[in-house]
Amino acid sequence: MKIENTQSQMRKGILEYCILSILKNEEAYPSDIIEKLKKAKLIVVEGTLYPLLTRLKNAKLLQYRWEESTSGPPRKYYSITEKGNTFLLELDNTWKDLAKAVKLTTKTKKDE
Amino acid sequence: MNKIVNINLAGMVFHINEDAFEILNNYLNTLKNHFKNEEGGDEILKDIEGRIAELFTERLDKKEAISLTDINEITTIMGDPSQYDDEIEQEQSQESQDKEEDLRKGKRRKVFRDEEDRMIGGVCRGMAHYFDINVLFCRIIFIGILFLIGPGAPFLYIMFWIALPSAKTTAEKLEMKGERVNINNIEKNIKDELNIIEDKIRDFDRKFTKEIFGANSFFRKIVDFCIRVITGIFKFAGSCFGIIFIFFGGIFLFFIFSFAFSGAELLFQNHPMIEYVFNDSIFNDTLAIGLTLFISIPIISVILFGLRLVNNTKIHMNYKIGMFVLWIISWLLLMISAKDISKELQEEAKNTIIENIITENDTLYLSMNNVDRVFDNAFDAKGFKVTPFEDNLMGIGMQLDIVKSKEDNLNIIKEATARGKNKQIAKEMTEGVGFEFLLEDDNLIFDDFFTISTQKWRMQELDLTLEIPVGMVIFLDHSLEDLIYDIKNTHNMWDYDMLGHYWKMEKEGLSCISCE
Repeated sequence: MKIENTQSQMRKGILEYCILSILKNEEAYPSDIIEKLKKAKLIVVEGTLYPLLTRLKNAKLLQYRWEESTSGPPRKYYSITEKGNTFLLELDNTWKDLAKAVKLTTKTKKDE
Repeated sequence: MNKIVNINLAGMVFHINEDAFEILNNYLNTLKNHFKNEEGGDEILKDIEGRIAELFTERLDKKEAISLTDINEITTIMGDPSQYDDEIEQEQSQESQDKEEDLRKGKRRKVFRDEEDRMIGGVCRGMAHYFDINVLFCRIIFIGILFLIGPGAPFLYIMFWIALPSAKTTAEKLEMKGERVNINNIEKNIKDELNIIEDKIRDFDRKFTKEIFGANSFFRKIVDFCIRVITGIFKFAGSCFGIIFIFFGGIFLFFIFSFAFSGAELLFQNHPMIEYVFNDSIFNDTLAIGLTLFISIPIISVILFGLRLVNNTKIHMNYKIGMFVLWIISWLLLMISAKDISKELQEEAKNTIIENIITENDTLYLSMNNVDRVFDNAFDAKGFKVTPFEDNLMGIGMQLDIVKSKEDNLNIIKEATARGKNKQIAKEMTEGVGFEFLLEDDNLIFDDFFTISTQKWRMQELDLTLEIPVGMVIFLDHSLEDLIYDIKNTHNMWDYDMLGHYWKMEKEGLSCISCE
């Protein structure tokens, strides 16, 4: 069993959750999202994000609009959809449950 | 000094150094390949190109052209597709098993060894994946073959072990369990490959013919068309050949392995001559293993080449070298065997028996006791045919010469030669050679065969000479046609013409007394 596998397995579900959360209140274009995810050390290389965004968009959880940019090609600004919001709410609950569960189990271990 | 290339990325024009362009082009092609089976792959690629264009713009504030350093930095930021695998592909498997199933459908199946779930090298497991059968079933078949072919089985396994790559990356693992190979797949594959080649040719076109003939000239269209047709034919022919290679190679291999050690041995042992030719020191495992490797490695290579044509299954260089080394080893084994065999025949011996014939007649009628013999399973060496006969061997092909006797006797000289491991054995072999004739009144009747009473065939040969005293008359019957050879006579007549005549031995030699 490799530590990298476990780590990336832990990270993988969270990544989508975090992207949806970032877009919950404001629209953003990929570079913004990358910036935040990099700061949180959730992704290492930028290339990871683009397939994810496309997949979320194809699942109708995200939508985008084009905006002209002064410094480069036009940008895609992503925002969350109705469906995405519902999805996010469910994820929120799942995350809370998970966080609780993890907290509980790790705490028990310490007490022993 | 550096050459500058102009590129269009996400609708923007950039100057880029030629070396940097090569790297960027490679990188984008890698990505294209990576996403080609993915839904929305084009869009992902465009997004990434857009991002790269953005990064370019940031860097071009202070300079004119994108350099190699810039590209290296940018590809590091964007990351290698294999790094996405870590973060994305596993995510898919978590999403649902169906997703993986979808992905599998996009990949055509290739043969790999499955090292994750293996007994020895994962060969059976890999085969089971490929043929969609239960691994237990596959292993039972293999163990069955193991019993059939005995000592060769480990070699068969090792050959597969060497020849098949193991599925290491996620992509290879998917390919291992990928879509079953069928005619539709193959057709699709041909089309895919064709497209790739067309792309390449279009690149070529752009680079060269455009400069020479202009972008849309009639000539260029013709060249384009011809190239397309020719590559199409080649690709199609390649795939057809591939299928043929695999098919016939497979059949050959099957026969070799099902017969080489069991069947062929039985077949050989059933051949009546085998026990007289071989002994244990010759027909041993060295020869059997050497022969199997020697024949099967080229066949396996042909199959792999066929797989490559049909399915683009690539074999790692190390495995190719491994196969080659095994083949060289098979040469060595064969040479060792050949040396053993040649040793069995290295010494020659000769044995001469002079038999005196006593008769009161001065005219002898010579004939041969011709029997129609079946020499179906005969060994043929230097004009002598040898075949099993009753519990021994018998041979035909001996020749009779008739000469003048020096001592006024009627003699028959039997000169036998044979070979053996040493002089002693060769001598024993010659002593086993026997030849009979019958004297009835004035009839001298030869047998049409000689016998070999030793239990081994070691190239025994027999030469016969009849010595006749001066003054004796002989009649040569037509039945002697195959026996007499190059008999000297005073008329210089051919052997065949001498038949049916009376000959008298004069001082000068045989002379015809019934000829006209």
